[in-house]
Formats: sequence, structure tokens, C-alpha cells
Amino acid sequence: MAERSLALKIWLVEDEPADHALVRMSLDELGLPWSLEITSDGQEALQHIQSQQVALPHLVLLDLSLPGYSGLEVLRHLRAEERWRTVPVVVLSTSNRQSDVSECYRAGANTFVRKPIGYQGLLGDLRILHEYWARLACLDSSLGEAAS
Amino acid sequence: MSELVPILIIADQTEERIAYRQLFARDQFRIFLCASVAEGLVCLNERTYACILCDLENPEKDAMQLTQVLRSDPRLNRIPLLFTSCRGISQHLCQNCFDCGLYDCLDKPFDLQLLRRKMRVFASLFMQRQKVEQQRSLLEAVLANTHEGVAVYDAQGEFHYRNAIWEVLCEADPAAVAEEVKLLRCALLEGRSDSVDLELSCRILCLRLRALSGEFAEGKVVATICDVTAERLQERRMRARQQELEMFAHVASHDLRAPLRHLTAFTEILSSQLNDPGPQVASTLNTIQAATHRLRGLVDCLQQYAEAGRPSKSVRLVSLEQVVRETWETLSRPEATLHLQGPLPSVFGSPSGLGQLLQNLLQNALKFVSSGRIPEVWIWSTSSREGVTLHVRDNGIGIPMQHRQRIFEVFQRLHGREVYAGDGIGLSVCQRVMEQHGGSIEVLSDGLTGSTFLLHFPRRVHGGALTGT
Repeated sequence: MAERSLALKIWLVEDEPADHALVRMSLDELGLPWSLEITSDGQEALQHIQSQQVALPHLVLLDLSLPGYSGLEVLRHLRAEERWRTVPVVVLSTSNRQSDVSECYRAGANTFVRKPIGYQGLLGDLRILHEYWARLACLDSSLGEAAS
Repeated sequence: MSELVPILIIADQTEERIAYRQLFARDQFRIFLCASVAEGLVCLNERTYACILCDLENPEKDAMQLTQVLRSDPRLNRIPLLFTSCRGISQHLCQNCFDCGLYDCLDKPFDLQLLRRKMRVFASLFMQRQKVEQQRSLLEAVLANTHEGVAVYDAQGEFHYRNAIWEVLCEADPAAVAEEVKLLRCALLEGRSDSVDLELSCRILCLRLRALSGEFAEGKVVATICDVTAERLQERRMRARQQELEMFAHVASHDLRAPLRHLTAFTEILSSQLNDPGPQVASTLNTIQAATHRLRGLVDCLQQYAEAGRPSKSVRLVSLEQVVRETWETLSRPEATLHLQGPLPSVFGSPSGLGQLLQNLLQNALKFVSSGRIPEVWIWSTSSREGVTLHVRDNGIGIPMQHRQRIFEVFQRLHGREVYAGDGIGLSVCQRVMEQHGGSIEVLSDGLTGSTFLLHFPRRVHGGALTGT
């Protein structure tokens, strides 16, 4: 299947500036088309979700420990909003507790990824995530065009 | 030598008094002689008697006075009273006297030996009563001088007895205590629990119940109550401190991970950005990477330690034998030998916690061995009234006895990292797991020929948390 040059719109909800930089660097290095929007705290993330002006991203990368509201609370609010209901959410967390993983899936996460230790690990994870969700986003837009 | 039994004889004729003294001279009696009822009443004030023998010329005149005094005084009303008279005792007087507690009337002349026998019976009863009284006094003194409140409730839940401390401790709300006793009695009969803490006007009281056993138990229960305010507050402070520490360890291990990840990732990026760093820079980067790796190990340890202290949600009956076998499977080196002297018991506990415990112990047994020596591990169990003990013995380098406490402290190591790798966390995790199971761990070693770790699991108690079978 021919790749469409769709720029994947990613919303990163993460309070660590170093993680912002690492995600940016990884996406650059992967050479894939992307656009990144960043929110650094739970309260802002809720406002973002509730705002009707915000264009929906193709993918949400959500950290669990955020100031204000936790990532889990953000996820619950997100899934409660009709228009956000089908936006894919990948939880990125340092936690390896099974209870955290289960809670996230129960709250509507699509994937739970443990934050990799090294840069190469992050590159690998982001490559897979990007390819997978970009393909799905492409498929969605093709279906949308076909239907119209 | 047996004690002389005091007898009071009231006889108004001098010859009679002399005759009575002679009659009882060979008996174990101490005779007190009085010439009148008035004199006898003075004597009665001074001591208690095994019996009063009253021999009056004119009994009608004084007998009623004497019997009424004896009857009205609880201290005296159990003293047997025996009347003798040569004038005969009227039926009317006899009836009155018997109503007042009179034991016998003898008309003169009477059989002297019969009188002696009667007096001996009274003396024997007196001695028995004295003995019972002494035991009762002793028991009361013990119960009055204990720190615990003691009460006995009958099968209907009514008080049968309570000591003074019970009254003092329960005075704030006796009804609440009675209600707790009722509830605890049901719990005791159903085998659920035998003690409960209750808070009464700023005091914490520990109420404990026990079914009374023995011939006259008749469904009675013995309740004890004691003030445990200081102990409980201390326990609460300790628990709060422990929770704080656990929270700290958890947060520290969690929050340390973010900068650690960044350190690792950016060092990697830096390393890849330097095309040809040269030997000195490469060595510096290697050092940073090694230190980061080591820091990651320590954070992992900290997390493991924090996890070991957290109460387990999945508690069930765990077969120690199965845990030992499974753990050995994952660790064993082909040359190492396990001598499992089963069967090993099962204990109530956390499967993951117990797995971690055995893994750490067996790993140590395989690791701390002199070079060239084949590791061997012996595992067996013993049982006692208190619980079960799992023994894990190895043929390693042993632990000098002066370090047998230190080895259970977090990050404590007895050997350099270059000799035996490790972070000094394994045994402190073991100790935390045993504490979580209500048990303890100790080590026996001569410091030369191996160590034996003893894991004590307490026997399961009703209402207890993590306990052994």
C-alpha cells in the first residue's frame, strides 16, 4: 500500500521539558511527517479537551503523573467528551504496576507503553507507534474521502 | 503445728467455767471464758470464734439479747451458738433462738464427750471457713493489685464479679463496655476473635474475653480490660512513620526515574552526536553511562524495597514447597544442588512476596560461595506451637555473627562489589516480606561454613492478617 504523506498530528500531554525535547528529537530523527502540540499540566489538558475550537489530533501521548489533574483523570474526561471518544490515546508512563495499566485500559487507553530507559528505546517505540497510528489515520481519511 | 481454734464460753457459774476448761484441755481449742452475756459481747468485738457455748442459770433472761446481737451483725451471724442449761430450755426460747441462728440446745446433764465431738465439728468447719476466707482474701488482693480490670459475666451476660480496676477503667461508659462484651462474646463463641480495642473518653482500652473452664463454669466468661493508650499511640506513630517511609521510597524510586531516563537518553544522544570522540571523551562517556546504569540498579532496588513493604492484595494459601521448587528452577546453576527435605508446609501469604523472598535467599546461597566450591542448599521445615519455621541452609562463606543484624538493613554490604556483585538490598527485602507476613527472619552462622536462615511464620490467628498455617 502506498504511503500517503499525512502529517500525523500528535498531542503530547507531558510535564517534563526533557521529555518534550526527546519526543521532538526522536520524531525528527525518524524523518516522519508530524506536527506536535504540547500541554504540560492536567488542568490545561482538561481545558484543551473541553474547548470546541481545538482541532482533534491523530494521536494523544499521555503521561500519567501530571501536575493539576493526573493523566488518568485527563483520560477519563477525554473519553467522556463525545468528539474525543475515538481519538487514539497512548499512555506513556514510568509505572510498571499492573493496577496502573489496568486502570488506564479501563479508562479507555488504546495502548500503555512503559517509558523506555534510553534514547534508542524511545526511537524504536515512537517509530512503531507513529507507523501504526499514521496508517490508521490514513485509512480513516481514505474512508472519509470515499464516503463523501 | 496446727493453730488453736478459739471458742467462747459464757458461763455464769464459776464451777462450770472451771469444768469446761478442764473438759477441753486436751483439745486444740483456745478457750475464752466469760461470766456474763455482756462480757461475752465485749469478747465478740475483739475476735471471731469457731463456736459460742452459752451455759446460763437463767437462759430466758439473756438468751434473746445474745441471739439478736449475733443475728444483726454480719460478722458474727455465722458463728454457731450452743445453749446448755440445767433448768431446761423452753420450747418457746428454742424456737426463737433457732430462728436467730442457734445451732443446738442441750439440757443438763448431757454427755460430755458428745459436747466435745460437737465442738470439734464446729472447730473443723471454722478452720475450713478460715481457709476459704484466706484464699478469697488472697484472690481479691491479687485482683486488686493487677493493672487489668477483671470481670466475670454469666451466660445471660450479667456481672458475676468485677474488680475495682474494672470499675475505674469502665466508669466513663459502663454501658458501652457491656455492649462490647456482648458482641465479643458472640465473636468468641463463633471463633472469630477474642479481643477488641475500644476508645473510651480519650483512652484506648483492650478488652479480652475467655471462656471460663472448670466445674462451675456454666457458660461464664472472664473479661479483662487494660489501658493500652500509650502502646496503641506508639504503634500508630510507628505505623504512620512506616507508611511515610514506604511512600517516600516509592515516590523517590518513581520520581528518580524521570531524570535517570533523561540522563541515559541524552548521554546516548551525545555519544551518537560525537562522531569521533577520542579516547578521553569516550572514557568519560563510558563512566557516565556506567554510573547511570548503577544508579538505575539502585532505583530498582529502592522500588523493590518499597514494593515489599506494601500490603499485598492477593493473599492466599501458598505452598512453600512449590515456591521453593519454582524459584530454584529459574535460578539454579547446573552444578548447584538443592536438598529439599519435604514436605514443606503451606502458609497464608502473598505469592509474589514469598517468591521474591525465596529468590533473594537462594540467589545469595548461590552467589556467596568460595571460588571452586559447588553450591549446595538444604531446605526443611519445623513446626512448633507458635508456628512454622522454614530453614534455608547453604555451604557458602557464612556471615560473621557480629553482622547478623546489619545484613538485614537496606543497602548494607559485607563485601566489596568487585568481590561479590549486588546492592545490599536482597535481605532487607526478605525481612520486609517476613514482616508483611507477621513473621520474622534470623540467621545462624559460624562465619565460615555456611549460613542458615530461619523464616518464622506465625500460626494463623482468627482475625489476623497475613499469617502462617
